[in-house]
Amino acid sequence: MKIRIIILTSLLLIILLPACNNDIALFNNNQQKSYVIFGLLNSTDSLQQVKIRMTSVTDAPISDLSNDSTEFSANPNLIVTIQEWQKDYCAIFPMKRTLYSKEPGLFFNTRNDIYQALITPDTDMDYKLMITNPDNGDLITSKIVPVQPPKLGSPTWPWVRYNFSNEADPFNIRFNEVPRAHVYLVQFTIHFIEVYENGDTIQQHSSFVHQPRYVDNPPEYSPVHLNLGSEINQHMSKKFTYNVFDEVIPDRSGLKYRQLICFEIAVWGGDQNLRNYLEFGIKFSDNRKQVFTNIVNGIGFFGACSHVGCTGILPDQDFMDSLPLFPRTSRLKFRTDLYKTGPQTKAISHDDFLSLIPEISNEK
Amino acid sequence: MKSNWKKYFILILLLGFRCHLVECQTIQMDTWGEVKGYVYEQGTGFVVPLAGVAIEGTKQGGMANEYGFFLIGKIPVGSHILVVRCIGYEEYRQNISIGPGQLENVVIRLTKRSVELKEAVVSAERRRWERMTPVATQRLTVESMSRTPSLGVQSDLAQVLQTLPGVIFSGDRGGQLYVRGGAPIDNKVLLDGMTVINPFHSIGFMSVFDTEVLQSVDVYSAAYGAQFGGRVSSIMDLRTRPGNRSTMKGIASQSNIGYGLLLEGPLKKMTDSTLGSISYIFSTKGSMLRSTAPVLYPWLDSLGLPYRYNDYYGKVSFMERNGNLFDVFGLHYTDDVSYKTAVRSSWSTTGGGMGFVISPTQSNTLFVNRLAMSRYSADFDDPSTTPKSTIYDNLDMSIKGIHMLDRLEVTWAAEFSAIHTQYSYINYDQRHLTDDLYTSDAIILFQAKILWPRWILEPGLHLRVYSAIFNLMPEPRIKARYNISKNLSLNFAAGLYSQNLTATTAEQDVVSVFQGFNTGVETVQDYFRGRRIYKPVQQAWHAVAGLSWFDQHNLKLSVETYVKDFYRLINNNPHQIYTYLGYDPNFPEYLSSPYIYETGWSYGIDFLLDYSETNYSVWAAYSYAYVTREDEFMKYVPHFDRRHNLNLIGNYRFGKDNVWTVKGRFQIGSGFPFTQNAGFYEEFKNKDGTFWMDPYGDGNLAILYGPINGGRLPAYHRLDLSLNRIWRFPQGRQLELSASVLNVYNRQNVFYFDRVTQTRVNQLPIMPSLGAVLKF
Repeated sequence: MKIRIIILTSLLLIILLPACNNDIALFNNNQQKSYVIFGLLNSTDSLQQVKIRMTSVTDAPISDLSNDSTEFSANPNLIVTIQEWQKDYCAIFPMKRTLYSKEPGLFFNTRNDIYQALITPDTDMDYKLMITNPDNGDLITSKIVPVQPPKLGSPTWPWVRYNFSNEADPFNIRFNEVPRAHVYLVQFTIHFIEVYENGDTIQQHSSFVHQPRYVDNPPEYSPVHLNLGSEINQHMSKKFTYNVFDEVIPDRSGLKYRQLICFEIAVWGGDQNLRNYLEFGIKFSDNRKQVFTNIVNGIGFFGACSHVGCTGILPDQDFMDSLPLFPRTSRLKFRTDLYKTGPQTKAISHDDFLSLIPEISNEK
Repeated sequence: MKSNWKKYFILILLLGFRCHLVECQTIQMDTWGEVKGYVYEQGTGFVVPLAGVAIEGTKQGGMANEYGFFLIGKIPVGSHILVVRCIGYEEYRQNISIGPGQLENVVIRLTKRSVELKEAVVSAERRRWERMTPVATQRLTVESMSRTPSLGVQSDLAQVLQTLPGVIFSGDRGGQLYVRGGAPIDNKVLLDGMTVINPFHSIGFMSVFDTEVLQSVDVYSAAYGAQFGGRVSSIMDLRTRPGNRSTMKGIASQSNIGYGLLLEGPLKKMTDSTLGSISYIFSTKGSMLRSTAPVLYPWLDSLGLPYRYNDYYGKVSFMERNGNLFDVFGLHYTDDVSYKTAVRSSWSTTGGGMGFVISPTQSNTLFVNRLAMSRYSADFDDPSTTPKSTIYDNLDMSIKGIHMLDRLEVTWAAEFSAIHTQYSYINYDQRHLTDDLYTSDAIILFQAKILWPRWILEPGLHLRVYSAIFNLMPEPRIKARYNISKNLSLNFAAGLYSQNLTATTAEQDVVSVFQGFNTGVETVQDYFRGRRIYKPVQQAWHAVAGLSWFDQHNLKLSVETYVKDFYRLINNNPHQIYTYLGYDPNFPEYLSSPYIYETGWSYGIDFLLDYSETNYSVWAAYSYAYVTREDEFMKYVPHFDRRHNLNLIGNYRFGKDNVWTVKGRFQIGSGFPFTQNAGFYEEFKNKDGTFWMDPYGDGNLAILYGPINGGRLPAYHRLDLSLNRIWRFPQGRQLELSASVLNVYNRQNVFYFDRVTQTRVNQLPIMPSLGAVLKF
């Protein structure tokens, strides 16, 4: 009898004791860090940048992890290059590690390694990103082909007044599909000045980006001539433009009035990798989903993009007159006259951009 | 395919003709006659199933079926005495006169005997056990359900189902039931023949059904017979009872969890002289948790108990003087959850139907006909994702014939279901996507039950045509029982099953307060592992074998081992990373099609001990199970793969006239699988929403996941207790007070874990409750 009781008690203890443990093992003990790569090769720009990070596999709240400056950082001695290939020809462009400051946010305190090089991609070439860790031999790669810039049909003439007030024939941004581009974005930027009660005058701009337009079958690439595909239209009616004003321009205290300078539009094209990333890569809430990546031995993506634009677009006077009257834009305090007509403003140029980066501008 | 159609059609005709031939031959015999009829309870008019009916002085006899219907054939011409016996009732005797080839119709009303109710229940259960193949089947009645302690006053089906062997419940807060490896969508719930698409409220321990309205609940956890179909895992068949046909009765209940009211009575009274009657039953119940929980359970976490539900059910039953029945019913169930995080989910089911149980005077066949319609609509709004909504409309029609011979019972049925599903959501790209589909199923089925002294054999064939794919699915089913001894039987069941309904909820969602529905999926892969799939229908086969013991001392023991081969399932495609443009041999389809095929296995062994005495009862159910799923990409265990699950229920009555009852339930289950982290990282940040990478930008936090469900959560265990006291008054009036405590030792079972903040939210903590039930 005693033996039975002992056996039964032992069995119960065997079952119940492990059940007392109530901790959750969030990470597998053998989990290794992974390389996280983000980069876009812009064929209409000469500065190419790649962001390199590591995953964190520490079992701690993210608020603690993000306060550690090196928790998400890769080895600073990484050798990063972009290889330009055309058949057997290969040119190697080393990328230089640059420490950028960060905008406020969750990762504000983490080290911000950006690798960059001056190279304008040629659409006849293939490009390969090579990252080597000299300390342990890790090799991370990705290969892409550049995207040709979209062919802008309209608007093309700067410092001309365009008709935003004609509801029957609204302002229209037209462009043609180009080879290798599977996604397009249209960016609409409003340039204006703000004059404050204390006399300060600040030049500002606010941008609105339309929803991505996906293209399933872009025209075939030809090294000889530019194959154009279907025309894509992006209408901007008067009411739509009011709503854009309302959405992107914030309220400011002490503001006396605003005065419009001009509009600027830019059309961006992205390759299949960029499209896949936009469509499927950022939905990370589903734990069964495969995260899109085209990085070998890492995660993230390396894609190709290009853009074309037109600045100095001016609205018609009817539009300007109605801006302070429309209920949703009246709060913005726009005057009915333009700040100045003429080419006084321009989009941020490549040179302006480079001047923000001391190392690059020095090299230049 | 055409030749197949012809073959099946001819087979159906032959079988039907054969049944008709048997019927005619029996009636036309010159020296024999037959008697058929119904057995009802005197006063209430409730059906008395499994009553023994015999012709005194002969070997002719039979047993009333679930509808109280019986048929005795081959009775010699002349005067006889019909004797009806059923435990718990007075013996009934009636003189009958049988003419040559005559079919005598009788209606029998048994008077209830003043014996212990429990004894009668157990004995009836034992009689039923003797006549059935006790494999993968559990019958629940109001009495058996009352053995489980409940939060609130009255026991609820949702709380009882969790204790059955092979049933896994994923949690008190929005949890779902998984039956022997099947997902909730693979389980069909029928209420008087009507499909109830969502039978459980968002708070996991409440179903939409009022237990007091239910006559019986049959849970077929695997390898169910040919009378059911359309699901690849399990069936729950609920039947409601009619209202009392002679007296007005009521039940009012109130607790801090919710309230309930049931009213029933005659619209046209059944008297001693006439059977023809009309009765009604109406039931409503609702929750009070949203208002009482913050006051009574201040220790609840920030999630609280923001649940609200209201259920209404009504039925009017007509009984003809020859015992035939006709009923009309309607229902309306609503549910609403509103979390502080602004996540809001609400759904409602509205439906109604009618049913006939008829045996025409000159026919020895019992016809059970049903027509029911319902609409389920649900909305889900979560600020972090996108609004979603779904509709499921259903029309069920069936004509069933039951033909009873001496040792043979043949059931045939023709059924038709029309289904409309709608699923609407706005995706991340702000595009409004909808899925609006109409489909229908036509079904013809045959089932026979052959009773030999040592064997019971139940072969069946379920023929289902899915209009969406216009394909006939012949599904053979078999059940067999071999009596090793009077108390011990060896049982076996197997069958093939199909289903075309899919849920848009991915199986990995542990907490699912919303699921959309879809039928006739057209955007599923054309090829699966290199093989072309011509029938995009989910399919599975089941096999169960077991031993069942039921002795004269009310001890019930069973051990069952089962296997379910889900060899074709259809699920949302979590791997989709490309736009679907139709089949392209050069493109990986499983990375682009919105739906994908999966396969899966579920197998295990279940043990059950069920013992009842006059003043106590014990229930112990242990399950050991494996569940796997495999798609084109990976093999994994679904989140409900609980390896060990043990439920212990004890019930003890004491005091003078057993007015006190103490009930307890302890459950322990091994941890559910979950997906571990493989890393946190900073996302890409673009500049002003363009393709320009912002080198200064602070990217969003992203999570890299490890192998799906590669980790295990801690074990789940909980103890619930309740103490009830009954005061009995004249004329059957009764007051019952109940005090119960859920999660007595306040075990912190995991509900969910926020990976980012490492915040843990647990299942329900210790929760005492008080309530009262007045029966009048």
